[in-house]
Amino acid sequence: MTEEYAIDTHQLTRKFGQRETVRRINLKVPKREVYGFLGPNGAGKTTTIRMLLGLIRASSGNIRILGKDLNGNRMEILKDVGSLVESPSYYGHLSGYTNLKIVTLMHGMPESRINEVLAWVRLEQAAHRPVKSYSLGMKQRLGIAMALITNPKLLILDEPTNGLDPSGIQEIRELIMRLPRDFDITVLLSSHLLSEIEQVATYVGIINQGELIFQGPLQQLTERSKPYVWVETDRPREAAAALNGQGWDAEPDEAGGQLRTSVTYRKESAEMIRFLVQQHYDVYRVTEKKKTLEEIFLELTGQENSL
Amino acid sequence: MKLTLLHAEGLKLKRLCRLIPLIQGIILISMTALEWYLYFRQGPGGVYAGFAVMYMFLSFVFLLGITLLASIMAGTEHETRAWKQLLAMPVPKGSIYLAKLVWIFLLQLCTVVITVVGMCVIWVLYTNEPIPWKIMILQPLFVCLSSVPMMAIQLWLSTVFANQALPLALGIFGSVSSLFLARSSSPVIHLLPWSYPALSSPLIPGHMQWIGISLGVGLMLSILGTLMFTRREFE
Ligand SMILES: Nc1ncnc2c1ncn2[C@@H]1O[C@H](COP(=O)(O)OP(=O)(O)OP(=O)(O)O)[C@@H](O)[C@H]1O
Ligand SMILES: [Mg+2]
Repeated sequence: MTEEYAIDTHQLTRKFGQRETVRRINLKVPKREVYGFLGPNGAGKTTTIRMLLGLIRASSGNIRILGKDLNGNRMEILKDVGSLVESPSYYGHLSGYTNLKIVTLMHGMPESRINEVLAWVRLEQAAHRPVKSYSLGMKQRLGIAMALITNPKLLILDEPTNGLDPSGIQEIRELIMRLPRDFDITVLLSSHLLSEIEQVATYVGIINQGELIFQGPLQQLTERSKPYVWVETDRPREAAAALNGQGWDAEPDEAGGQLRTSVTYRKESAEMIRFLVQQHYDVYRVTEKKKTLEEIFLELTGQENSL
Repeated sequence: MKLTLLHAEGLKLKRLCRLIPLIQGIILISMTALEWYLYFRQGPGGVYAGFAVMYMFLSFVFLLGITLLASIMAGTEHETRAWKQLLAMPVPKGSIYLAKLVWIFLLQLCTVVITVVGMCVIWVLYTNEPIPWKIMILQPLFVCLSSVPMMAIQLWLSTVFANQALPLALGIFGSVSSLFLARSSSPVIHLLPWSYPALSSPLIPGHMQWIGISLGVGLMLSILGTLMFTRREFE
């Protein structure tokens, strides 16, 4: 049987003391997608990822990765998983090349891929310098190289663009987007910034205070950002009802003294406004508003007011 | 445990780790030679008194070396929080821990070899007496073997604490007190792992018993340390 999910968790929970840092999440990461794992600071992304790698134990629930239960198959699974958790880990006194060599040795793989992978992350020049002399961005790229060198089927990257400059971010983005297509790799990519994810991810999961509050294709999220026309009027409820009577979509927002409609085509808008005026409604203002993905994200995570 | 894992752990060793056996050897040989030359040359033991002189430094030098090795090796992982990367590799957590322990042991064996070779050279240069191979080799070797429990304890402490102050303090305290503990008349104090190295010299009656105890306790502590390491959660 071929599983459709590279990562499949069931009611995954982790407690620190009494607090449930991750609460009953069912993460479904489809194969060969780039899954954006999104959530504000402290939402539980890193905690979830640590559980996926078996670095910490789950308090309850279970985890299947690449079709196998993590419990009892950890070694087998980790052979096919590359990871970069939080800050990159490296041995500063060793060169980038030797750092990669240690990874290949531990995976029982030949050294031959090292140069190729160094080229992917543009570190050939610095390959034989001690890593402690690298810039933050170079260390981050080395971390990605260390995750990629073993030919993983699943790549787990926790905030991989932390500390990179815009061109570095763009580079990593392009690299990540290539992976599913060119190498058959599934990518789980965590971030606290939607803008980081929306350009690379095809699938999105949003975690907030330990709970998975949205999961689905990115389009599903973008659909929520379709534009609306808002009409400020003296009697929104009656006006909306009147419009509905004419077959138009309209929803009153009594408190705001306005109504909202999904009718945005110019001709139709004009007709609608004319109708309202003819029916003696006062029309004060007509505006088109489009929710950005960012607003949707903030709305979902209930943070729009706190920022 | 696979050799590739040992190879990988070996690559990680800082230069200081590789130098420690040499430094230990040089300290042992030079202190022994100097002390003997200054105070024991004219004594009844003649050149053979050198082994008694060396005895006074052996346990201290080995235990101190072990403390430093464990601390540096664990510190290499703590430094960049490399444990999370290391333990996400398809290698059993226990093997990773044991590989580090094996390296400490191998490096201390190097100390034994360097010490024996150095002492032989000095012996041949200084005297025409035949080299007393047995005590020459066994004395440092037995100290190394009886330090296994301390290797296990120090590595465990150094992996548990990211801040190496406590493991270092305990290790140094243990190294200094080894000789005194062994001289204590209380048999209970002899049971402390710090005293094993000083009780295991061929010069001490009943040393074989202590080597047996050391290896037994060392094995037990290594297994215990490995089990605790595999159960730990890493940040
Ligand atoms: N070892 C621990 N002991 C106690 N609480 C912890 C521990 N590790 C994490 N937490 C708590 O769990 C919560 C989630 O942390 P986590 O690191 O998973 O967040 P995150 O989503 O990765 O955030 P960020 O975007 O800041 O990286 C935080 O409130 C954190 O304080
Ligand atoms: Mg995090």
